[in-house]
Amino acid sequence: MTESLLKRSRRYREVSDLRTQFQCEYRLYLKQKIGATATRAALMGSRLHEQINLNPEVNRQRGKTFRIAVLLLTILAAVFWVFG
Amino acid sequence: MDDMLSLVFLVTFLAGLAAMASWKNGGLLRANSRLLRNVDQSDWTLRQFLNLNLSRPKAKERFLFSEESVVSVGYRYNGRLDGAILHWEGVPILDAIIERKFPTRSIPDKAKPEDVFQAGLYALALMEKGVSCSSTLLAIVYCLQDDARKCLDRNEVSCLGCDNSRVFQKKFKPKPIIKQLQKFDDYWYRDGKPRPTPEPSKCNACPNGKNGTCNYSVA
Repeated sequence: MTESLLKRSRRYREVSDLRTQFQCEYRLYLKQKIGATATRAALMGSRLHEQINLNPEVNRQRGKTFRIAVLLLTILAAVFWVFG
Repeated sequence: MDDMLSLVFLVTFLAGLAAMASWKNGGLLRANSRLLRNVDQSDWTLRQFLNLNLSRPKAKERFLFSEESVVSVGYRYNGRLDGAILHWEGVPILDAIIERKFPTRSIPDKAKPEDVFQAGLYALALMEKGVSCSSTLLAIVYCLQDDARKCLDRNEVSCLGCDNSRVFQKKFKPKPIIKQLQKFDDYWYRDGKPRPTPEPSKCNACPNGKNGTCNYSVA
């Protein structure tokens, strides 16, 4: 076993590396050999990942009840206005 | 009095319409409404949740875990998932893995295989920890970078509500992922030569093809 292979086999692989390997094994090889080519799009993507999170979506779902209440109220108001 | 009441109903109706018109188009939200229904942000870390013994949450009470690290000892990899929804039913059950992507040009017509694979790796790592994944969904959320930035400008720090974004859901199947990982072992553990992809579409998206670093580029 070569030294580099021994070193590689000891450590855990990163999911991002496995994803790159899934895209193209040679791309992963180049990434490991010459380093990652960080494109502007990739950097922006990482920044957006940090700034935008999933948590508010949970709160937003809770606000759904409020929206349904407003919808019902609007429909009732329309019905009473027309037929009342 | 009748006129007064009629006016109140009219004003209520118009106010309701105005309120509904102000709500942004949530196409993506609709797609996710089932996924995120009755989900609470968890106060536990994922590790704590999986080790709960005495204070197990009620069955069907679902929790969202964000930005959690996962490790697979069996397949030797680690990573950080964007989101996972779990609940307890005797054992911890993984409802969904949520993976967010921010493409620059366009949103794909279907989930990219590499994104599904990535989300599958997170699910596989959790399965290894004893989490039931028999009904797990892999939800890939695509939101254009420009749209995401606009959402941020509006202080909407949620990618799921972004305009023009899409969610694709796939059922988690561990077998193809394990098979793929076994193929990868050649490169990692048996000194196998790295194989370049024969697919031009993948080369098109690769910076090594564009800058001439890759000799095998078919872009």
